[in-house]
Amino acid sequence: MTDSIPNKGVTFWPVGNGDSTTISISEQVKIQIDLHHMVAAEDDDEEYYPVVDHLTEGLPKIDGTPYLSVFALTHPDKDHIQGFDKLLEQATIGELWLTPRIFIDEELSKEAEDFFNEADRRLKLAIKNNGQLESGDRIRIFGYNTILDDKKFNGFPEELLTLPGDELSLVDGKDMSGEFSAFIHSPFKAEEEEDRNDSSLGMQITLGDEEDNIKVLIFGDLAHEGLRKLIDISKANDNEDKLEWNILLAPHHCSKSIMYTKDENDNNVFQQEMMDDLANYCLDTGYIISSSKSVPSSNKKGDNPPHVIAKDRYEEIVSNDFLCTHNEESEDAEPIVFEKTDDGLSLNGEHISNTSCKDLGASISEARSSGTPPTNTAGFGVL
Amino acid sequence: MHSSGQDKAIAQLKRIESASDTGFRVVKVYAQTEDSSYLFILVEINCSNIKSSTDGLQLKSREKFVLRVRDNFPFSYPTVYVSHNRFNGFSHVQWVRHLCLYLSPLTEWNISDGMYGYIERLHQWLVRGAKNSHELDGQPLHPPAVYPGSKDLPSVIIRNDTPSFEGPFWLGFAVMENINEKRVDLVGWQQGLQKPVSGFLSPVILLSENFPFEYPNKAEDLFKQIELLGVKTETVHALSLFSSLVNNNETPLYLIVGSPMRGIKHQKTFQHLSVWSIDELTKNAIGMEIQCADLLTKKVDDEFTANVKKLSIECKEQSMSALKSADMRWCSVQEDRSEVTIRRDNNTSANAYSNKAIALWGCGALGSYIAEILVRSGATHLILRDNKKVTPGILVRQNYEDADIGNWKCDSLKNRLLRINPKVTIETDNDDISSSFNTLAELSEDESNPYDLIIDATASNFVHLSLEEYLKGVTPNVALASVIIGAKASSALFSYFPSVKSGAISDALRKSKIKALKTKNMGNYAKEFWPNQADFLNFQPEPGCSDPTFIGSSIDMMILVGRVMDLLGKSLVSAKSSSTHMLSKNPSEDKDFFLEHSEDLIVDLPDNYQVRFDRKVIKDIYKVISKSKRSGKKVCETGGLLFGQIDHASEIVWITEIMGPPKDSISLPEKFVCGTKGTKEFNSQSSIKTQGSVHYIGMWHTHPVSSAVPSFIDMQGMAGIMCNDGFAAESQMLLIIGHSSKNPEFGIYQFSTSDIQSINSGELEMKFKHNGTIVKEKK
Repeated sequence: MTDSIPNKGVTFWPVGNGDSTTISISEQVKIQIDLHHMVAAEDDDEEYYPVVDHLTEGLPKIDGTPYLSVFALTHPDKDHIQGFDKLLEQATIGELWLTPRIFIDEELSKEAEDFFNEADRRLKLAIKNNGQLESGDRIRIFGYNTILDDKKFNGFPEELLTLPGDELSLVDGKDMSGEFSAFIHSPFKAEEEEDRNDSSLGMQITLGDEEDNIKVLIFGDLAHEGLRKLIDISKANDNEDKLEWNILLAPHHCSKSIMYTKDENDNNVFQQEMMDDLANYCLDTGYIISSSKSVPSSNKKGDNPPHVIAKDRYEEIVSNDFLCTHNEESEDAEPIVFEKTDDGLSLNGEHISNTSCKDLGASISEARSSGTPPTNTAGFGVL
Repeated sequence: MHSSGQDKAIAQLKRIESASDTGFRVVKVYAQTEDSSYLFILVEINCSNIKSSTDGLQLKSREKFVLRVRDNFPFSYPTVYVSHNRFNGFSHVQWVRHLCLYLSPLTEWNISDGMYGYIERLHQWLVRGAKNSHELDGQPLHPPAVYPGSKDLPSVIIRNDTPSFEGPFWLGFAVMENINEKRVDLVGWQQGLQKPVSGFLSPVILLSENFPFEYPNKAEDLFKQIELLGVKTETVHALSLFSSLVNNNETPLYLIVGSPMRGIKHQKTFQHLSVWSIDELTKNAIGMEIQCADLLTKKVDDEFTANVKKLSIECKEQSMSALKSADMRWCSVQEDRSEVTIRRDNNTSANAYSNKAIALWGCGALGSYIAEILVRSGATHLILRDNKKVTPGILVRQNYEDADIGNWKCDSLKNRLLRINPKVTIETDNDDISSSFNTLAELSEDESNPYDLIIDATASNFVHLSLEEYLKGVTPNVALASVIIGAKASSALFSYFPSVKSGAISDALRKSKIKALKTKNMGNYAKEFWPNQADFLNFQPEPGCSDPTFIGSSIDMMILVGRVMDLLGKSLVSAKSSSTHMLSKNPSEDKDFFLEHSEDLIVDLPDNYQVRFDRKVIKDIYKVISKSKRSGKKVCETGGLLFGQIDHASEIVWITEIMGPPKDSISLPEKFVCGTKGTKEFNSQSSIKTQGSVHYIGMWHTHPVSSAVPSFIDMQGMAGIMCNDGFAAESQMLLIIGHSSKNPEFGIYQFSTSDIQSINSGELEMKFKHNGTIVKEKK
């Protein structure tokens, strides 16, 4: 098998219905986006993938301790943060990226609490040190600047706040321009009583320089309304190139809520425009990843994601393939690893080639033909 | 459950997939819903080999397509769409994402080839689309999809070419006519604010820029689009207002929108028209507005005026908003504009009759079908001449209906033809034509003769011969064709004359008869058209009708008329000289026979007879002269017999063959005594062979050194011949070739028995009436 964590690339870990994505910028610089550590359960049928173990194994070491440059949390749902305590215990996390939501949310899970504690520690330190932080203490908040008016953030240095529309190349204090940048799309200003999913951090990550790069879109658990708004804002601001993608992590574990809304009778209403937009921003090499259990062949009403109709719609627009972190056929879960190499992109060690290929016309003639007489002899007889 | 056809489709796609390496992929077969007869399949084509031009479809390395396969595949063809809008606006992409692979699926879809052919076609579509070369320059553009119009709305037939205009748009009105509940015709265009003479008005917007291929469904969207192109909704409103004003209340209101999406690529484009039916609610709102405007003209008092003004503004707002919010209800549009329609008979022999003015003589078994062909082929002006009425018996094989019985055929036929094409000009005449040739417009010698062609379908010897006689004096400025049908309706004959002059129908029939009777493999034609009396199947369709006629069905008529009109159409285009075709219902049994008629040497005699020399006769005469005996330095006279036909009705003499000097003749420098040896046998054979068309008609001899004037001896000779057996032919011809040894001239004389007198002792003397003409004819 190939390295789960390449020098430069993206790793989608098979963590069931949850997100765990590792962005590799260089040998030394890794960003982990969300975490869904799955411990061994008593029930053997339950899927099991101790992602923290695999991750820390692949991380660079500083003084013998695994070093993770950034941990980014899109939103504080359990399936995006489970195992953070273990990670924090086993590795040095240079910088935390988060949205303000964790500080506002009143119903955090136990797993999110662990993250909150660490974030809160760093927040207070940042205020105290006026932003002068060392690796291991760093924090960066993504959101809207009105939070600075909030008492909790009073004194939080503005340079540690990144707003939607900003582009970021600073990773744990290092300027990674030319190798990495993240264009921040969301969250926008929080609506009152907004669903947690809708507050997700959304971004376009570019690995490589302007000429030669791969682009990854990550939107957490955004649903149609949020993504629609995000796209419309980008269009209005002439930022459509910030929506281009080679890899799209299907929001909310391949939920249909991205391209279907509900009418008054609770029926699905297909939002063609959303798929048209996603299709238009899909680059020549394009993959959609569903970080979820394998997509069933059908869903019942009210089923949680992944949804087969979402998969259907994605398959229709994606340049190359729709991939799921789990599939029924293989027993051992393996991560999906994209590596950016000098001559392009490889998927699980295989070079992705878009160059063809036999002439289709000739292939069709071959397929159509009723065959040629055998070139070897064939014996027939009674005995 | 997939049908077996759908399974076949999947299997074929998978075969292509495995043959193609990475070029083609079956991404997925969608789960099928129970109530659906359709199966959807997602496939991927590797397009990295397809190079795009800047104006072509920009293809990704891999493109995905959803195929929609019906359960009765391959007996219905699949459709294909894409799930993105990147192809929108390209030709052959309909409704944003549906690809139009076939212009004419019924003929282009290869059932047996199934998915192989389909994917090949899709690939080809992509290759062409990438280069924007779906339509090569000069090929017709694929017009936008014909959107299914609302079923309860009438179809609109566009009868008139759209006005041409400069600038971004043309605003005005269409003149429409309600034909019936299901049909409205658009018959004209106007920009002036006046009520049309007949019909009603509809507002029109013609644009000079393309509309997006997908026409809007909401009026609001429509107005948004046209505002982008510079036409204000207010203007549409104003046009609607004026239309409502001049139309009566019951008349529906239509809005016609056109954009230049038809035509030939890189050439002039033409308007593609859509007709929107404005709903009752909106129409009524506009009507209210008009009523307000009407009230405003009444002066009651200031308060009244103020109220009406207020009401009027409200009404305007209402009608504007009704106009904007209305659902688009498209009428189905049927094109009949010549600028955008190519005739379905384009490049066929029928085109020869297009835009022609044609006189049709005879509206019977042949003519009634011929007329219908002419009208369908696009003839613009017909005159129908027939002097008979429709009787019950003819319905078996003539193009009439029960209701026509008792009417003049020409009038019944006219009605039928006008139902086929109301635009054709049709005149009728039930006079007997043969007695009134000099009054027929189509036979005018004038250059302004409006007719291009006369088709004689009378099959009447009477008409033929009368015309032959009439044409001796005139040369009408028109072409002529004549059709007859054989006695058993198994073959037809037609003659075509690019210009009408002496030597017309009867002449051609006579020549054809001689040829047919003399040619071995034409026996069946000879029997059909010139049966021996014993062969002739005389049949009387109705008691009391004595006209000999033929047996034949409507099938026979349609086949033969069809074949005749096909060949005649070709002749009209290319034939330079007179000709006759004989053709059979079963070409495999009897080959078509074609005879090009050579032009005779025509000599008019003083008494109005016309002599027509077959050119072969002249050649033969010169051959005989060249063999003339010599006596010392002197050339002896020579001569022989003339064979042909004298028709005293039309007063025409055909000289078709000669005989040289019989063996017992005497040739001297000054005298030729014509013998008789073998002449009787020759005559009877010739006469039998040609059924009387070629027989003895007179004598010929040379005057080697003197003029072609009959000498006294010549006269006595003729008198002697004519009274020899006591019962002479009514008239005989004498041909003298004067100065035959050097500079020949032809003197042709006709002698009648009445020219002979008995003088003195019973000697016969020919009284020379100078009934002859001398012509010079080159060797």
